[in-house]
Amino acid sequence: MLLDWILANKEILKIFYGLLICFICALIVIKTDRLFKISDYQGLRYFRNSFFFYGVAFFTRFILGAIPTIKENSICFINVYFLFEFFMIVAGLFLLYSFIWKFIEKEKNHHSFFNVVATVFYVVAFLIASLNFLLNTSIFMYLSQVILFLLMGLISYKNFKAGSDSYRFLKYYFIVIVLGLIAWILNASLEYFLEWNKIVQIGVYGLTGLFFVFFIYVITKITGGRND
Amino acid sequence: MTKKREKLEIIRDILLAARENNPIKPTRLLYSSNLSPQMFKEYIRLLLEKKFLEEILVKGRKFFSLTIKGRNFLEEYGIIEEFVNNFGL
Repeated sequence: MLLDWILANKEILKIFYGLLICFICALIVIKTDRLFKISDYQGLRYFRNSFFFYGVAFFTRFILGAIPTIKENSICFINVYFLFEFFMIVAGLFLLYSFIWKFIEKEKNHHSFFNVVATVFYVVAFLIASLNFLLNTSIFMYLSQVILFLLMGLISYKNFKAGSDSYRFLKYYFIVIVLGLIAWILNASLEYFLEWNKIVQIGVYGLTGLFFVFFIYVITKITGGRND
Repeated sequence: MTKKREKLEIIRDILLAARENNPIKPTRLLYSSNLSPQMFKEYIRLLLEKKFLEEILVKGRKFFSLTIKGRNFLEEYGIIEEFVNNFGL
């Protein structure tokens, strides 16, 4: 019954879903940016950038992609799906970098969107999205996300083991990264093994939504729902 | 993670000392910070660069004064520390 209703209204539901994720990402960006401006702490900056690109990716895929003339057209080979993949990969790279920047950066970067590391992210994301386009596949995007989430899972597990007594959300961060990893594995499986099974597809949307809801929940808890 | 947490804590401690005795002499701030002179120099450079502290002259002698940005940092320190450590940033 519910499944039938969801399937019958899936196009409009996708737009609402996209809007919801964009709204959550915008809130995360605003709240994190405020703390970054106060503290000048670089990790906050990369975390903020990650959700900026997640928001742009979902806006491109679910809002712009809902407009038929945009969905069906491309400039050279750059279309909605290419851009979605590009922004998702950049977002994932920034999220991973928010964990490890402190072991890499010796000097402060004056611009977090335009520096050597960010340029490497853009180039890598462009190459992966282009490879997918040329070979008419999404496998490289899935592969990159699975690797990124595996690495983030390992780091967040290490953080959880080191600091779970003092910081209660570290455990949930690890869990949510594992959920993200499962979502990406399911996403890849949908294309290659599960023949776009509708129930699994809805499950992937649910897991992805949960991923973003977790972040905004924790941030709101920490900042005390402060108005920005 | 530990290294950066300590760094945030050191910044907080220096700014707290500056707030308690605003403006404060460099030598007094050095003693309050419990840092080596070399480390103290690095942190002061950082805090001046971030505009958390500013150098002022009082009767021709150098003092450090806490800025509004520095005050805001102290007020929000708990939130920033929670955020940074809960997300492993």
